[in-house]
Amino acid sequence: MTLGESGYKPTRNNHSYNRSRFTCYSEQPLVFSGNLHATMLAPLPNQRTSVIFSRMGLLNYTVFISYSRRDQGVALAFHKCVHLMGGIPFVAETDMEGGRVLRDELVEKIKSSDEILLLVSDAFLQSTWTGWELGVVDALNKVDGRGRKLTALYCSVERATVESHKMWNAHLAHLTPVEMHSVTVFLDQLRSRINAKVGNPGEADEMTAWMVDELKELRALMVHKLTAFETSFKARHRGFK
Amino acid sequence: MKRTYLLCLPTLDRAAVHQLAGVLNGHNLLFVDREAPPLSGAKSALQQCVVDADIILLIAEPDDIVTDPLALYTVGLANALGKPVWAVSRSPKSAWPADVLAQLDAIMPWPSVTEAGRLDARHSREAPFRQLVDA
Repeated sequence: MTLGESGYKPTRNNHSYNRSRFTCYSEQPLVFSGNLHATMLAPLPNQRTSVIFSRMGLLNYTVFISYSRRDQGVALAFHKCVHLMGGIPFVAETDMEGGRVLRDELVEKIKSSDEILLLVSDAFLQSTWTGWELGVVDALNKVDGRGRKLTALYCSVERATVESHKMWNAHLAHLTPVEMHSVTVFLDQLRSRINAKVGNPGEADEMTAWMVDELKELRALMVHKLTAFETSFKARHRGFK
Repeated sequence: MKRTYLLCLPTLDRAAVHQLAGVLNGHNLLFVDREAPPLSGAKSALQQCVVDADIILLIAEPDDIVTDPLALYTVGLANALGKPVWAVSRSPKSAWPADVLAQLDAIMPWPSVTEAGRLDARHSREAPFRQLVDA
């Protein structure tokens, strides 16, 4: 028995958004204008929308952590912090997907990032990848104008050491430095930025359950709609015979 | 076809660079020099050079590039913008660090040049370079 034959009728529950577009039972196919996700979710209140978009991978706050392999321990600590705050961290050592061209994957990850965290240390200044990553960030910011936030966190290096490197000083001198002793302030600010974009992660589980129910109901509606259309089509086909 | 080459110069062998510039005579040439003083606005000027270039030529030996973060920065700019980066080097590919190789599109052997400053056609190893210049 299909849902159409069972006499399935979607019930209107107490959600506050306009569902009228899903309660049409004519034989016209459902038409979504533009992006399907946006059409489905646009009328939702902002916070709910943001959580749903986040769960669907449409709205994340991604932090790309640029570091030298010798500072891997520090990088992984920040990885955990960002993860716990509800953001999506990227550390090359653990988050590379594999099976792809290394530089292409890194460029793509930086492209999709909202914030770049530079773990500045002596090893960082000597690394062959960190300067390259900074070049990628600057090029992408120039091209797409997104202005990814760039934070230089001085892990185990003196400002004077950085200033003695001509190239690095040119890049880092204009950034407000974050010292390790003030890292908690930086983390609070980072949490605020993540919350501002992704929503309050405290409601994430509740939102997820709610979203699953909604999508189930929507799917049932689609099945109902298709079944009705199929029945109608068959009837018309018989008529032609 | 006239092209714009960005010559990134971690090398300190300036005579060789002049020779290479002679080979590329007729094309537009832009230069990034590790010895250049840091000027205000130099960063955005460098970014614009990479945007304008068709091909980035890294004139370097492995040791040069590792000690020149500006070269790696330039390669990063080029990779993000999808510009091909070719290293012109006297060292074989095996002498280059794997990290840097991953950022490059190709390693070209240093071309031998005639007295007239042109590519020496007698050396078959110039083939990839000739293709690059004549294409």
